[in-house]
Amino acid sequence: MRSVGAALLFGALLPMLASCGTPTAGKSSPALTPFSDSMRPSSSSAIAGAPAFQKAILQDGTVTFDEYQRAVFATIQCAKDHGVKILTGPTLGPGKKYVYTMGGGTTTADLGATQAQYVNCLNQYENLVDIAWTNETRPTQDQVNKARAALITCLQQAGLTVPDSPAPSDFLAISRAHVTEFDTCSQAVSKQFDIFQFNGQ
Amino acid sequence: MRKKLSIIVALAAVAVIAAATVSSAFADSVSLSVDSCLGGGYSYYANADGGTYELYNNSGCLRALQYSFNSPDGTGWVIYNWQQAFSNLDDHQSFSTQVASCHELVYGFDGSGEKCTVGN
Repeated sequence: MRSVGAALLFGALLPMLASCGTPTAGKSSPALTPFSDSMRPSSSSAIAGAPAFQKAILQDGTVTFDEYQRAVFATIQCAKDHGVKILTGPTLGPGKKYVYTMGGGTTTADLGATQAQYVNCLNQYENLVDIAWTNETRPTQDQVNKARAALITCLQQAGLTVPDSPAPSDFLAISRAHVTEFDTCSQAVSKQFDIFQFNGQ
Repeated sequence: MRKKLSIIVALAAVAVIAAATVSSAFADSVSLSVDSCLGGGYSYYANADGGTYELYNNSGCLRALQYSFNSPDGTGWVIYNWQQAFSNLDDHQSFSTQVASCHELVYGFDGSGEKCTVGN
């Protein structure tokens, strides 16, 4: 089982990004600099800084489905309590992840206000748990390989030409040239292999 | 003149991604936000004119993504919940195809990630 602490490194980095990142317009070069260990917050500090609800879930080092579900439902209840209308779901989908929708009003101001309310609830009850859960349920390389083979077969059966050993760029090209076929295959394979929105990578 | 959308990366192998979306199924207004990711190098570029798109090795990237769309039936904005996911969202139809249709990018490092809003 993957550690919560390692997974939370991702989430704990967000404030750091917010403080030092500036997007650059135009085409970029890839950033390949290894992440400095000195910049990594410790997993214990990430958990220590979590809101109480999430800390109680995270402190044993693992996140179970029941705990993930409890975090999602608590977020939804919080949002409802603050006037956010749940439109659909929550529905459990591939990757054992819940999906639901909320009403965001009719103006961008309404949307922003609702988003802010929802994010407050998310940060209080779910965000770090979700990060850890996603890491816990990450597909193995073997699962990814099998799903990729199934996606290739599906695309070929849909009449599309797929290279023998397609690169990510090949999947991208196909997905953009044949949106409907690719999306249909992606959804089918995602469901079959229980991987959230699998696209060949 | 149509605005270009570009997105970049990279603070010590931490990649920050922004994107946008217009779904043909959802018609006009869509917004999408993407949070940070940690992993290998990542570079992303797209624009409203069809643009280009580059993806480097970021299979270890975990990040959060969320999008909303303004329902064409007039009922208003529909907000999807945030999802943590690995980089396989990058090329997914619901992401990349829509990104190519984005006309305006609103940068924001307010903790909610970058945001692109289309049709507003």
